Amino acid sequence: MDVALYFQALLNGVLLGSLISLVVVGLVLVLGVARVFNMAHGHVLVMGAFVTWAFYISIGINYWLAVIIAMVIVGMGGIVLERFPFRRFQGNLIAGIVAAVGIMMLIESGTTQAWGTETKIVGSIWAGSTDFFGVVMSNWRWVIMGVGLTMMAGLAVYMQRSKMGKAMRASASDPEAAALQGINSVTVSRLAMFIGCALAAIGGGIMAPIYGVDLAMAMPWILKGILAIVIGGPGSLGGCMAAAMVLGLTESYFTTFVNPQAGYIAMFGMLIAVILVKPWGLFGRPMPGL
Amino acid sequence: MGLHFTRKQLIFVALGVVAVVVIALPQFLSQYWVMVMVMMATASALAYGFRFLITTGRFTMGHACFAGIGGYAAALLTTKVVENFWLALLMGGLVAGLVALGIGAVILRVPGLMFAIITMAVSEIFRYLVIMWRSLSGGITGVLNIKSPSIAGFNFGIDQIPYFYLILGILVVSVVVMYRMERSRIGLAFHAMRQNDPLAQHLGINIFRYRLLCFSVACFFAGFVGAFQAHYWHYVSPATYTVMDSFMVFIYAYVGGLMFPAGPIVGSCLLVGLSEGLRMAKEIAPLFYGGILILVIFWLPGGILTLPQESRTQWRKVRTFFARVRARAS
Repeated sequence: MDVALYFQALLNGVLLGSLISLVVVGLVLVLGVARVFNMAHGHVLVMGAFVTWAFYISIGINYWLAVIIAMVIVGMGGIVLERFPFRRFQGNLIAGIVAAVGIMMLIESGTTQAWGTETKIVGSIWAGSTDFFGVVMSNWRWVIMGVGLTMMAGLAVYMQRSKMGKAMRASASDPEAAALQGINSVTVSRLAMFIGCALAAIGGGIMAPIYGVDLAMAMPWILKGILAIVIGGPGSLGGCMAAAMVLGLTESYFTTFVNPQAGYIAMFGMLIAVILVKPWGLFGRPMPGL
Repeated sequence: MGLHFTRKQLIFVALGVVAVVVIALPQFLSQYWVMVMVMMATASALAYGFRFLITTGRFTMGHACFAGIGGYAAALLTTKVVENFWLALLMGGLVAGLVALGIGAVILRVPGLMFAIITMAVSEIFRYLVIMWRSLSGGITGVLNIKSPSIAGFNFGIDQIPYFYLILGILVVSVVVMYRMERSRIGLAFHAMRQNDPLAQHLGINIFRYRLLCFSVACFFAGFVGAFQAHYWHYVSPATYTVMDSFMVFIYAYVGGLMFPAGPIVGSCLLVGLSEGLRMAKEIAPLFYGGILILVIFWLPGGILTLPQESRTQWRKVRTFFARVRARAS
């Protein structure tokens, strides 16, 4: 078989992996700091795509500006969500999930009301393709990969170095001890919601030119995010990003060489195998009360 | 001479009245509303099984999948082997129960959240397997042309009313069995496990074995419901057993109130009725639906059935507030 095909699949896998990690980061931060499992995160991503589309196509401003606006608007929306349903359900997993499903319905019907049900087409921003040592990928896919990996690196540095990043990590590992050190738990969970939703919105915004904007994207992406968070382990940001990469590669190789359904089965099978051996994920540690 | 009833007698009288009303109602309603009642009963049966598992402190996000497994088992039996409704019903329940027994033996050892996520993974794997295995399951179109059930020479045809009595029978059987189990010694073990896992283990309860029993019984009845649905819709397809459908079962039970045996039934009737009733205002119905869902869990975290208790507490608060205002004024 052609060697270039393997590299093609590899790059596609990294692309999918960076998109999955844009989703899973929000899930990890929100579960760790705000202690809710945000099932509506896939819909948050679609909201990002919708807002980007609305500003870029309907209003007609610059594409990158539209992505940044989407990021800010959806991030603000995340802060609102933290206040209205989620703060009451901190640590109450079942109620949090039901609340998130309610939010899913609100987003679904709200966007349907505002913009209708048909798939929105953003169109290509930067057409053409680039040949990189025999591996051909369209330019926009290179851009997505670059943006995704940059965001991940930036987030890793922010979480390691900045004061708020350290505060978030402290609050995730032990909320009470962190509160005793003077870390305001409300501020950190707001920040976690903002970063999570903003990153998901960027993901939605940059994938809009190739996948279009459609509510049906929400469920597959949240499922992949859940797979990544469980395989990587809730509470371990780096582990979840690595798991997202592994999932992206699995999906890409199976789609290229077998078929997509087999890829999904392999991904979910991997999840079950990991949980049975290490219930809290490959890199996670037990989170009491979940 | 005054009439005096004990609490138990009152409950029996109320149940009798409800039973008479529910049995008589389809005769006075149009086919559409009987169909809605069938949907309510189906949802109630599934949600009751979901709550049954909640009594052991675990929740699942793949309950609709087990209905799907039962539905496929029943559909394949009637279309490919032998055409007998009762056999298909039993087959659906047994297959779903056995699959749950096998899967549960492996996955019930992990913590609660992870168990829920694995059940979701199982439900997705089931869906993709069905889509892939075209020769047996018909792929994405599913199994079509399932004949209407005929029992003792009586064919159900397309009239909704006999289907309603059938699903009502299934609902009553499953509720009675699960309720009696919950009220027996086994049920006490379930509740002990929910309240304190390690303590129950120290008291000598084999928590794994009891959870397995509970999970397989709940899925057995889910399979029953699936087999009924297959005969009611005359087809089974992977599109009707998605993760979202499992979420809906979860929501029905939660909104009704997880701590009450009647909770799932009340929740399903209310939410299914609401979504059908709102279908008249098609444009903004889901907005109302999602909003009501969030408001209910926000103000009544214990479910709709805590409404009397909650309103009493709130009323008491209002009264003390006014009493304080009056005291200050005088």
